[in-house]
Amino acid sequence: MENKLENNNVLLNIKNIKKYFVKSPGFFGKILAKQKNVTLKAVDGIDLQVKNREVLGLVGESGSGKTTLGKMAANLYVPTSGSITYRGEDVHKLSKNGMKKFRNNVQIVFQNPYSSLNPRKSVREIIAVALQMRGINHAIEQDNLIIDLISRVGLTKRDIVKYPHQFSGGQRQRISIARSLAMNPEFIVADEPVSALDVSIQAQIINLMEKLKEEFNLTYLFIAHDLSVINYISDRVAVMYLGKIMEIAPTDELFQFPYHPYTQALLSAIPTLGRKSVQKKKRILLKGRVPTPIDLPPGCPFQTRCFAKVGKICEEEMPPLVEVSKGHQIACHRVK
Amino acid sequence: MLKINNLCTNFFTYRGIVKAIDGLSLELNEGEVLGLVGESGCGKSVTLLSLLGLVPYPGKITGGEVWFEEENLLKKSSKEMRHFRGNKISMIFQDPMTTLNPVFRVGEQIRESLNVHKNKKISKNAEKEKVLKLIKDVGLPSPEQIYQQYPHQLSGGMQQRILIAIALSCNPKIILADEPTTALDVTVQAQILDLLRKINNDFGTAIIMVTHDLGVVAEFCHKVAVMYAGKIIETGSVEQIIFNPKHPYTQGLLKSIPRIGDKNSKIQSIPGDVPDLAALPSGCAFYPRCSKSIPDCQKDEILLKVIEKGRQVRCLLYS
Repeated sequence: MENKLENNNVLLNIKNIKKYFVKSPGFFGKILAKQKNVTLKAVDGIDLQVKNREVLGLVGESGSGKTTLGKMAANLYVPTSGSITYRGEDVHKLSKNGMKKFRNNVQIVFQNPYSSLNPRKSVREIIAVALQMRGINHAIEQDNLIIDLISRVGLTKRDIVKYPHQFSGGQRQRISIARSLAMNPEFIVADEPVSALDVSIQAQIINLMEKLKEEFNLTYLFIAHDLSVINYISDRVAVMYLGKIMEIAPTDELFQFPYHPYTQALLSAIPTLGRKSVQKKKRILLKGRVPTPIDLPPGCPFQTRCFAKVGKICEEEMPPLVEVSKGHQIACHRVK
Repeated sequence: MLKINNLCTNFFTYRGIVKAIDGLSLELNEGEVLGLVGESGCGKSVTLLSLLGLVPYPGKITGGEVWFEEENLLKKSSKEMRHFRGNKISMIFQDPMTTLNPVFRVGEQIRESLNVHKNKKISKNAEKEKVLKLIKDVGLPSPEQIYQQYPHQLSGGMQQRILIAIALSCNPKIILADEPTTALDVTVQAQILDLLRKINNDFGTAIIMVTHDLGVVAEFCHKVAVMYAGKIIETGSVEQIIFNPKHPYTQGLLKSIPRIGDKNSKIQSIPGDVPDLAALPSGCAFYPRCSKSIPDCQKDEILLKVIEKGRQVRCLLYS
């Protein structure tokens, strides 16, 4: 893979990506109950670019498609249509060698620290597998690297012979991070890496990830539903809703000037520790039901709960992402 | 209205005795919303379960008193507790999908609560009318339709509202809420908290809200009690706890939360991990992680001291 970055320093370029999951009702369902296939549109046409060395926060509630998008970025799901290019090369057209290099460059950290580590392997074995993938087979060399990685994530030499069940959630997450770093990546997809952890441990892991970003010159696609965490760690934020991006902007800009009605509602829903007085701030409460990603109505996915609908057009056409100020785009018919 | 004295609940496990709650004392006044805050394993959920005699095996309440309406609930038999549970004191659990019975319609489940606690004959129709009104009170549209739905046909937020309807059905004096919004999206959480606030305002129902989310506490509670390793380590009004925390653990918790609009302040984490309740050290359980500790902290048990009215701290720094 050539060391080529696209225009504007873009590392990962996602173009019109779609991921549909089709659920078949099975033999009896089809024949006896005349049921049809059900299509779940998890990701329904997204353009996104991640720039070198940035932290792009991807935020959305459950069903927004953010995890699916993250997994496609790490090549764990094959898109239904659209393309993902990494350093200018189409990820799905890579040769075997190209794919090896891709896996070196792009790693993923998962949400659940309890299910993402092999319980039958020691920490040393877990990380050694990654090193072997890189061609480092010599035991002593492996040991040195493993000890180095493990101490960078805040654990000790004695921990490498232990098994996952001997660690707490936060510690397991550190092991997952060490494992992903073992491949010497430049891009990490972090899929809700701190959501399953206690508050004081979340802070430890967030600080660790920030530190490692500087040490290893990393780029993050940071997926989360917690807006405070996203605000803290991201340079830019993309807000997803039911498979589409609703708004994308630099972090401070998004939190101070949210344009999209959904972003406004999302931000106003966050319970905050106010300043001098614990004010009861004016809260936007969304009415209406959240539609499921199955059988979405045409038009904007937010139409059923939107308090700022423009008119019939919201029910008919999906609004395109339009730039409203530098680096700030929204998908809303209000922009005209 | 509710006075808990020195509650002790132990779990008798193969690894030893786990002191899930170790001498907890609390007061709840009428119409108050008390936040019970702490991280996993601190004992906050077990506290709620202990109040209603719902502690699962191998747990057992081993001491203390719970005074409600001039009676000690811990001395009540299982049969007598049924009069209180769901009736005078209700509970809302964390995950509505696992709490609701999947094979019964939700309307029937609300009705069951009314049925079990009725003390006079009401006609079937009157009961159904009450259920429909409850469904409407919790903010759900089309009560007639909702009545007929099964839990899996409703979204998480709607299921939680059904749980709240069940909890409200007999006009309880106290609602115990165990992380009622943790499993829900943030926009739905806002709706549920709004509903609970309305219930507190309109009906004067007192609420004990167990949560790990200090943001929820700041917006919703009047009083706060912070727990660590089975003990209350600080209490106060919500303003006092959020803006003037005394205990190093509370201070550490507040410093470790990223706050929007406060970009320049780095979050500071508390080093180490939550302690193993089966192997607690002597003295203060927070000692290994505390930046303000002194050697005496490890010696004897530290008592909860009242430093002002309604304000308590369990820390040698304030003795």
